[in-house]
Amino acid sequence: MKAILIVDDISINRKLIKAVISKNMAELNFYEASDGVQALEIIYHNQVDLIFLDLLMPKLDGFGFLKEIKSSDRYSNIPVIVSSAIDEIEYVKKALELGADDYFTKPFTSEQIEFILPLKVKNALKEVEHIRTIMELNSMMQEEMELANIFQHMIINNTKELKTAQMYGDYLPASKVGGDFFDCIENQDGLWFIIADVSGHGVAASMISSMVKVMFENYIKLEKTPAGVIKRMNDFFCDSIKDNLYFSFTAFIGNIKNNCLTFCNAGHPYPLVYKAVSKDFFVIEENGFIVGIMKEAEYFQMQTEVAAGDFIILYSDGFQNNADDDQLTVRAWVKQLIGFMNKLDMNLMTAEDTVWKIKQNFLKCQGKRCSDDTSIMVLKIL
Amino acid sequence: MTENELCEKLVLRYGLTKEEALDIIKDFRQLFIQKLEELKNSLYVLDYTQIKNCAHSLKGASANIMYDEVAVLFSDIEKAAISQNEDSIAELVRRAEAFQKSGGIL
Repeated sequence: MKAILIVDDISINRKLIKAVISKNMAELNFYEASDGVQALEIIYHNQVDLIFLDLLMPKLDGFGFLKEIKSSDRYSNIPVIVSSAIDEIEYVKKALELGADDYFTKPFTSEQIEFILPLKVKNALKEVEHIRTIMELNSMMQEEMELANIFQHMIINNTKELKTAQMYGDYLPASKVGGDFFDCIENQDGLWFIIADVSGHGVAASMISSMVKVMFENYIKLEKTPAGVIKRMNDFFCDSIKDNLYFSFTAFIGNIKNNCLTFCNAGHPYPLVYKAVSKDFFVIEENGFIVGIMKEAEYFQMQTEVAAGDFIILYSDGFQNNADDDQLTVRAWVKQLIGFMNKLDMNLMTAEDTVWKIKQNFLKCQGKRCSDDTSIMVLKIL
Repeated sequence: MTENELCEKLVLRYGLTKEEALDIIKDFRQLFIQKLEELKNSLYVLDYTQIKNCAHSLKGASANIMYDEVAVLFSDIEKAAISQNEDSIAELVRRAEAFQKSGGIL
């Protein structure tokens, strides 16, 4: 049952408004208040769907009451129809500016009583019902997103106990969930690692990134090479395209075995490698097709030697996209990163230290929401 | 206007029952007495804001129940209060009192 609050210091006016509305609409509950303070008490303790408001009242007048409820997240959606004997335009303007939905001048004309007022009430009640439905759905969605955020952080591990490397990563989705993903797995074929970035953000991207995780875990058992794993992923996504729904992602997959890093890059930003022996950095400037775009795409892999003390730094383009300079290219960003890293004594750094240093110096959206999913994973070879 | 005439007008305009209409007329009578007293006290101390508020309340209520003679009278008092015309307010209040004494629904 819908509830209407009539706020007027004159009981006759309250009774007449109630009579007009009741005549045209059944099953309504009415509350009455003779001033703004009493009206606030009623809305704080009861569900009210529509308010009829007089302006000149003792204690708290109609303007004060409007200010109070329209500045509250909880009550600002309740429609307010002002009914006042004041017909001066300044008052009408002020009431509407403060958030009143309509303004009627008392006394009501017979047309207002017969048609206009009942229709306005019906429309306002319908509107408030729609708003409440949207708010409920929104709240449900927020809860779902909070859960999804927790689950996504459960599948993306910041760190893992590995025999052959220290691993540390961090992931900051642009919304509650996102499409970045990284992981490391050791098996009989060595240490496998992946960093991926699904196009777009949000729920759809996060679901694809979950699929990528499952694929990665399974395909490294079936394929012996990073290029083979990426090829299988590409086949799956290209075959799965339906009704013009395209999902693509960039990925860098590597495998380290016997001091040999074999890697395949499918459109992902170039990783950075630190060589402990020569104390310098180099960029793995190899690239390939983004996954999910072209079934015929060929994927190639390269090899390089790695040794204990070497670092592999992998990151998503969120770092560059969230940078202050929106014209910054990935290459320019990497140059800045190398300049910064050269100042550090990498031999004393852990994988975790490295992630934190990079985040501190390059993540411009810290403490607030990033405009793009951002992730970083660092491996230090043991 | 007699009470019966006003009662019929209210029933017709607002779709009230006769009992509801009589109840509203009773409320109006009480309001008239209370507000007129407040208005006279406010005139005594020349509190024009309070005079305006009392007149505004009576103007609105009487217009709502279609008691037009009273509505016009208190509309004039409200205007006189806005222009702070003490003499005019005093004269109009005397007319309101005379109106009350003359009978009718009041």
